Amino acid sequence: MAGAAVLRLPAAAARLPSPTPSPSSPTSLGVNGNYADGLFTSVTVCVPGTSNCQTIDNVLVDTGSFGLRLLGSQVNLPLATSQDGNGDPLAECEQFASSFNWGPVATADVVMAGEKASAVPIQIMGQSGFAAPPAACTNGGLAENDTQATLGANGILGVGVFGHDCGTGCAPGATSTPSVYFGCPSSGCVATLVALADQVQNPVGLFPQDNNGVVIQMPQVPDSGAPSVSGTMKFGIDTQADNAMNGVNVLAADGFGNFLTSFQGSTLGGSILDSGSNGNFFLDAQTLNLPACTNTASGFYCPASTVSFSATNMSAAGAGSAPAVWNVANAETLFNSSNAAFNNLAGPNAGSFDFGMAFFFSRTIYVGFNGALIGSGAGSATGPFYAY
Amino acid sequence: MTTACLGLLLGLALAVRPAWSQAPSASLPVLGETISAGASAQLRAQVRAIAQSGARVEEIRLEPGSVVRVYVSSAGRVFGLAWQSPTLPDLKHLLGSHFAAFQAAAARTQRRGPLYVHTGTLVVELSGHMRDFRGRAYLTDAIPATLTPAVVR
Repeated sequence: MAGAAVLRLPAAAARLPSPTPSPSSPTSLGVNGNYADGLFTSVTVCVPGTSNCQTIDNVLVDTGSFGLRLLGSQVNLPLATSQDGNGDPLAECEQFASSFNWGPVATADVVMAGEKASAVPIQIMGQSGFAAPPAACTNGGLAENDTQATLGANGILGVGVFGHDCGTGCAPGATSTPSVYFGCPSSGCVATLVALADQVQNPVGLFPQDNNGVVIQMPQVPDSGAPSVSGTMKFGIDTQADNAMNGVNVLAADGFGNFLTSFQGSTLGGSILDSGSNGNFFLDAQTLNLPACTNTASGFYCPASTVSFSATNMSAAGAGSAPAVWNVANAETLFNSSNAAFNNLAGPNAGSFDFGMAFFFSRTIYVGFNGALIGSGAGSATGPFYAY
Repeated sequence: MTTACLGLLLGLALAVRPAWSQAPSASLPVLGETISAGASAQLRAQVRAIAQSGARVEEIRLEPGSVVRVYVSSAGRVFGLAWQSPTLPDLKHLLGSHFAAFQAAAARTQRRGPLYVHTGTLVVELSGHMRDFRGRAYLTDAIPATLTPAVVR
């Protein structure tokens, strides 16, 4: 049997009442708040080669990023900080579309559901006493999500299609040095290149077995949402009797991890299946004739009544397509309920489709890692791919 | 001797593309400001006219594999920017005087995923993930009358 982690929405913590809406103050997505469409699991980390371990709960499961990141405020283990080529502490400015995370790289064994990856580079976010993020990191202007209140979780488990969070663009041989990895001597943090083996990595890819992908299965939720939901994430595709991939449509991803979506006569690139996005984010209010929310649900769509959409997802290259059908409900109505799991929460995303957590309900979604070879003959698939 | 000299010249000719992190900040255009004469040539921008508007789009290729498109009105004002790059661009430079408003609005997002900021006349949208970020920014009151925001992409 493949190792299978339990997934939960919302975070398994006491839920506080929603804060009084106030456009000028941040709304807490937090572990102690109402994190809509956030998927969480527990991850065990150990000092490498020892049984000195700690289980961190409420780690966000993210098929759109690569690597394990844990809040420094939550980690109590003496994990060694990695060093750059000069022997200085190595840190990372990990970028997301709406936030960034800053903190040192450390090494840990990562254990989930009986599977263990040894000596994995992970990121410790917001480590107390560590150097502050340099200008090259904060010049993106995005929010730093290195606390429970801002991140809404105790960590991020990136189980997307690539093994390394940055890849060759951040490794020796790159033609320039991106502002991603930094060596931090006392004189200040400076961008640096990092060998692939030392970059923060998808820990599932480093399991000795069951390491070629993940399978996320979520149950159905009602149209009005659900207060909590449990699902499973299995490690490995077609490596055990219970993680076979049968009767699904495979979408080959390109070198960026994206596929194509055909919608109302146009084909758009940059599509992704991203459990770390808390809604289906696509196109814009004008194109879709969907009103944008203006009050407490700002950033989402607020149609007067629920609207249905359909599209065809397609491989970035070659054959393979999968139909997509989803609803968009009034986000403000959803947020006014006491529910947290919604299959019809959606908002704008100019020019492309980000099928987020809302799309995962009632589906079994396969994430095939870069380089994976699944099956043989007519039914075979080569990573990177998504399938459902 | 001839071969060595040729090699050196080729190296010089190819090495001029700036990276986000290494471009002299004075050289990249700023949203809302007037683009300086000669900036396009200095950045080796490919310039294309936009029909029926007097406006133009200047496409600049940066290392590593990043593209910035600058949308300029007939008066030379930058009304929009769009980009695609493996890492995030330097929005502090690109958004100029609008950066503070952007940063404040970005901090209020309830979304985890693509960024969607509409505050005052400033629109900033960012999507993607490490290895492939795409985004755009424009000023709603600076779009030429004959065009719509859809032109910025």
